[in-house]
Amino acid sequence: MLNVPLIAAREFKATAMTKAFIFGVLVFPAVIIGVIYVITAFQLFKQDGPTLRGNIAIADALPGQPVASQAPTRILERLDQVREQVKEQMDRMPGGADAGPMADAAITRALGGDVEFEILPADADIELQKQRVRDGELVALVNIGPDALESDSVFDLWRSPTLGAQLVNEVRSGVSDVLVDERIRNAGHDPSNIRTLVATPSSNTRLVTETGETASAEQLEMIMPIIFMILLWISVFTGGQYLLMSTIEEKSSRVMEVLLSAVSPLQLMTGKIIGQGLVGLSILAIYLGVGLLAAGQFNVTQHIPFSSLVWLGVYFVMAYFMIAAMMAAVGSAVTEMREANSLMGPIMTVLMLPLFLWFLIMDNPNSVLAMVFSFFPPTTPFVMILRISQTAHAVPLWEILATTVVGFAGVFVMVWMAAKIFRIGVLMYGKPPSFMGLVRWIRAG
Amino acid sequence: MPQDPAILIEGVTKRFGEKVAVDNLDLVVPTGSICGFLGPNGAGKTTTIRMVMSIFHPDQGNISVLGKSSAAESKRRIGYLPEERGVYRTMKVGEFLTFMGKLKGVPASGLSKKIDDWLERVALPGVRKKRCEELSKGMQQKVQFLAAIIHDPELIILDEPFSGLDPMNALLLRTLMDDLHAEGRTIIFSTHVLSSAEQVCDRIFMINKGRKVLDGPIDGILARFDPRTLTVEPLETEDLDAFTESLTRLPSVERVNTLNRRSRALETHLAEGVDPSHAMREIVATLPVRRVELRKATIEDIFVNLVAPEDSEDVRALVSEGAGQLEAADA
Repeated sequence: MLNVPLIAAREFKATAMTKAFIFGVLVFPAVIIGVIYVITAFQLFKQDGPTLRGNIAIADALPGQPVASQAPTRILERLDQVREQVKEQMDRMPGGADAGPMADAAITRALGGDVEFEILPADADIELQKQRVRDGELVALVNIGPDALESDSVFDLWRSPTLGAQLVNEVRSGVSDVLVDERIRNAGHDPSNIRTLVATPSSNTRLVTETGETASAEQLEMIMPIIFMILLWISVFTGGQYLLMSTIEEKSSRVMEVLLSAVSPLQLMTGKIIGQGLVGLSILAIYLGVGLLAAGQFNVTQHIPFSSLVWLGVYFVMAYFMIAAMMAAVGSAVTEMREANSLMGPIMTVLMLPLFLWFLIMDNPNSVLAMVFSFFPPTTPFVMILRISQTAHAVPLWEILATTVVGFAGVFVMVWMAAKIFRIGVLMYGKPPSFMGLVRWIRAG
Repeated sequence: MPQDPAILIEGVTKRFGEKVAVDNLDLVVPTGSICGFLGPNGAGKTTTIRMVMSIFHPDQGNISVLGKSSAAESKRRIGYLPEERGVYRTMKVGEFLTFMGKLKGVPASGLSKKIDDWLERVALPGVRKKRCEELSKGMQQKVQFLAAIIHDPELIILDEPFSGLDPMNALLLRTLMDDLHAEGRTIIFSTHVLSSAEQVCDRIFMINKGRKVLDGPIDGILARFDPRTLTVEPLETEDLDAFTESLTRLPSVERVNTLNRRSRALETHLAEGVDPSHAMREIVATLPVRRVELRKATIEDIFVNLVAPEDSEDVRALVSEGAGQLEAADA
């Protein structure tokens, strides 16, 4: 019948062609991405304190005062390095190239403008110097004791509140570097030589599978199945939620019986499910598209298991029809969103399972637990997409096929039950039925 | 060859749980007629209409609509305005009517002009681009009416079409119904506005407690329900009580009710078997009267005559609550 596409088209248009939807689906993620960028940007030149201006005093009791003579240069070098890194990162951000002067200003603010070093005599009165920190005359005071080169020794660093965390860190590291170098030198070695020797080698990790050898990206492989599952869950649930809302709206606005003058309840339900399915599919396509684009940008496309994308499509259909049938049934039985909540409880509990279980399933994708939930139709698509898109443990083919059959059989039963509830529910006003009431409708329908 | 009736209901019974909503109902709606469907709240009107529309299915009996065994087979030839009716709040009026028109099989080519013409006809020009929620309740009612008839149906079923309409819009609707009837369409409508029924329909049928209590052409029914009531107005109005007493004492008079204090007219019910013309002569001969008039029966008289006050309980909530149980029970 032509009526089903007409209803589906109206449903899609009424949901997806609205400002709220476009804002929710497109703008919201864009804002999130924007916020992430902004947070990253702020972290780069996070201000822990106001602009640093002032002197750092160093009292060095070591023979030859190696810290007093070398630390200032080291610290300034480190600050320069940080400046370079920040600039590089700023340039990589959108519009970063234009942000040059702004970046400079931010860096100066964070890392300090005019830092001067003051070398104190070996017998300087530390208490007096501390008072200078307190008075704001010094931003930091470094005190290197005579035993600072012992292996378990510590040195003192007093800082004024104006010295930001980033600078404290650079000062501390600069001083430590000098002390370590001195120890190496005292042991009769060349510090630069030793540093080269102890440099940590990087590994070239490769993933070896039946199909060959690829560059390994464990973290990405860990996270990929979860991304797929969340993507599936979000798209399916958004579509399902819209279906619930639009069914309730048709009931509460009393347009339902007007529609039933032209179409049968089954046609209406089918059209609505298909229409909102297209909404869910659009969300999936948009998010997946953005994801793939980002993956291309970061050069990690090769870590996306493309067979999983095909399965994502299959499991979307399975999961969506399962949830949509539930939502249509609940939506038809109530007149207000508030009334739907009590009926949604048991349904949501079942559907939240994959979100609670993903960790256990990922830990051992072929465990009994994973298998049980793979054969439980409401969770089949979510658990199976987790299992299929991980690479550590191959899921046996028979299991993939069997769960698909079981999953779609579950969908068929659910749609059949929903049709019975829908037929009775759409014209029912007044007290909403209980969950057991719905079961009675199915039995009697 | 006589035309098939537009609606034929034979021995139809519908129960909602324990409650019998429609009880062994027989009904014929001749093609081309305009029928008023009357009855107190909870009498089973909406249930009957929903069964005609194949929204409910009868427990017993047969219904044929436009020659088909079910309205589902001829939905596009039927225009139905349900009692529980609404519009998509955020949809524009034009979009809503286009959607409903398409659902009912109106070709897209002429649909837009048709919508404009109809909006003009129901005095709603320029609302096409407005959202339904921006319209007043009365305007929404008119849009709902258009949604029901936009596809030029042969049979139009209107469940309480006058509810919520102000007198001007009720008049407009009556005119439209007259026009549609004149075009040869069969119309059946349920209503509580008995004066409207009397003005518009050529047939009425009434049900009470799910059973038919009245069915036939309106003229025949009005003639049959001779109320045997006279309106008597005294010439002098100073001593009304004395006049009333004298009137009551006449042998042909059974009882007298004060109809209207201001006009001093008295509603005079005649005794069983008394010829009204004889009674009128007797009154004129005996008492000083300004006016003696034989009252014509109205649908309202008939309604009140046939329906006890306790029958008119608002059981709609009960029915709709029982609907599920019934639907459940009947499958």
